[in-house]
Amino acid sequence: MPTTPPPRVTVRSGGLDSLFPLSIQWPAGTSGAQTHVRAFTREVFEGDVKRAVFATHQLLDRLGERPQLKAQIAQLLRKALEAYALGYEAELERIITSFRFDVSSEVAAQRVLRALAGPRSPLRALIAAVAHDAELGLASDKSGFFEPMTAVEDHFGALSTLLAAGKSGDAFVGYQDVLRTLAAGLGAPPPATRPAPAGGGAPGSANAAITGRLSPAGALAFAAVTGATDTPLTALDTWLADKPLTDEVVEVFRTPVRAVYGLGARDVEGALGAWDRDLESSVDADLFSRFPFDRHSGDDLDPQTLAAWLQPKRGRLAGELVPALAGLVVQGRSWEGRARYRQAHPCTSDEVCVRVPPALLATLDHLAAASELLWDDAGKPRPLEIAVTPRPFTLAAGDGPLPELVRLSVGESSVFYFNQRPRRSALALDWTRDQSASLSVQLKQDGSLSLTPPAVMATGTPWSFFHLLQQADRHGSTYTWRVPIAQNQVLSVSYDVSDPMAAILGTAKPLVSRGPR
Amino acid sequence: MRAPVRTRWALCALVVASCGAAPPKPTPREPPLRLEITAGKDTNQGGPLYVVVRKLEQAGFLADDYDQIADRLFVEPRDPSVLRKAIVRPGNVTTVEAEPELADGEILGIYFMLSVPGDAWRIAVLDKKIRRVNITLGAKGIVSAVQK
Repeated sequence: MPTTPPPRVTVRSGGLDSLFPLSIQWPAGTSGAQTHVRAFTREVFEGDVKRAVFATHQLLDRLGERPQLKAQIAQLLRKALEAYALGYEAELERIITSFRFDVSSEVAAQRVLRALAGPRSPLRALIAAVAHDAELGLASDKSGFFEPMTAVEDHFGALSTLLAAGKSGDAFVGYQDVLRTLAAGLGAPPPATRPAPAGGGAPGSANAAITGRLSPAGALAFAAVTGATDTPLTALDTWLADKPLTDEVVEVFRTPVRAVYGLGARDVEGALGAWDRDLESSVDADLFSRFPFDRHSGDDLDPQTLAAWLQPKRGRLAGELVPALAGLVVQGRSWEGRARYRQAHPCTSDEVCVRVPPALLATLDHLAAASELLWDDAGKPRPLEIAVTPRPFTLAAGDGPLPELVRLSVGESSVFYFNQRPRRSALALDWTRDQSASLSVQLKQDGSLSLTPPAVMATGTPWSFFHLLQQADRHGSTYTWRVPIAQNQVLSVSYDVSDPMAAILGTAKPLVSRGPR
Repeated sequence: MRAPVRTRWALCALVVASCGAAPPKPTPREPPLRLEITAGKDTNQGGPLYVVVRKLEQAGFLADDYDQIADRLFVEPRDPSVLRKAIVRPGNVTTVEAEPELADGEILGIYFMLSVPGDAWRIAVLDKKIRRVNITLGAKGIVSAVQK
């Protein structure tokens, strides 16, 4: 029995794969699809494809006496329709996701946002084009021939609801309101020129020092990352919340807002860097460039200045700097238990993300380390624990005085050494008041003890012990004092000292002993 | 009728004494123990060191801890078990005398507080009749000890 060839779909002039232009004017700073494949339009589907499918099924109905052939042709038709549906869906996705928002300045962003929020918004035109092609009316189709095309409606059908006119305009207007608010925010005067809020504004001058450096976009981003809720970003989230849109389509709506917040985030990073440079200067001037942090300095730190910066309840670090960075940084612990600040949110998601400059984290780490060294958790001053380990000493040949005992003292804390097996001891240094520190050698000569043992001393400052260290030669952590015990006779006394103040600064500022003075 | 207070204290003292809890009775005063210490030039790597003479229970000698002895050497109030301490200068002969006021069951311990103490950092004088000990120190501790 001869087989009948399957019916052919009639192709109109112009071809199904021809392109036609989309009537969308993309302003500078935006871009998107400018053409549309004609075959994947609602007009072609309804005018050509549907008609051809119905006609083919009518022909198939006449093949009742050849059920096998009928089934083969029906299967071929279904496959062709599935391929068409896939192409249709891909074309609409290409168009809707083609939208780009690419601006390099806040001025340009403001201009483009106003265009997108205006009555001739290219984004509205883009959505209208896709919504039109996605509205295929398949819900009322009783034939069941076009089931493969329902994926198109599922994917993009909700777009038409955004443009359905309501009492106060369509839903897309709500999105445009968000863009308009964002544009207005970009046009707002920079925080530096705004009058200070009543009451000075929490958490104080550090916060003002950061926000005062921000551009309008920077201020928007800073507000978002530090927990503000009344922002264009949250307004967009609210608008999107009740819209049944797919992730790809949601991305389209987020693109302009995210781009502006991205500009703002870079501005915040710049402001944080500049603020850190100022902060570091202040911290250096007040703390780290002074003795005992800087062993070359002749200017001793006073306990009051330390407390003003570092006291864990009332100092600037806890009361001002850390609150100003709330939401941006969090405190953790290093493997050795030290305070370590890190970025609160790693920049791995699509959320607004500010990369906190590593130099700022290092500044906070230094301050936190110093604070934890000098105060306990309850805010009570903590004596500095200085571990000292003596090294055995030797004697010059001859019958000079015999050292009986070496005493290393700071305040009321002393350790003795008489050349026994070296053992680590701890000296507790009360840094809240002036101390005396000394290294003295008890001598025996001609059977009697010396009344005034030779000694090296430092007094009149809380940091006397560190001044005593300065009078020693330093090699690594070993400090050696050369104590004259007789005319032409010097006793070299060495201690290994773990210097907790030096450990704070790590290798950033190597502490070099100036040698004996 | 209750016994007078003085009588009761006397009874208590009698009970304590009869139970053997009273402190050991010192033996009559003995002549001093004389130590003659000959230190090599390389003793304690050329650094001076302390020799310590202390009295202790015989059983406690082996359990003595170096660091505990070192820590007690300069504490106030003075440790009553330390009878004598003196500096030994490497390359010299040092003579030390100690009054061995030993109770029953007590012995003398002689300790050299070397910077790097080996096994030979102490000796015990078990015999109360010993009056003289000649000790030679090498680089790492006691090389020989002759008791007379």
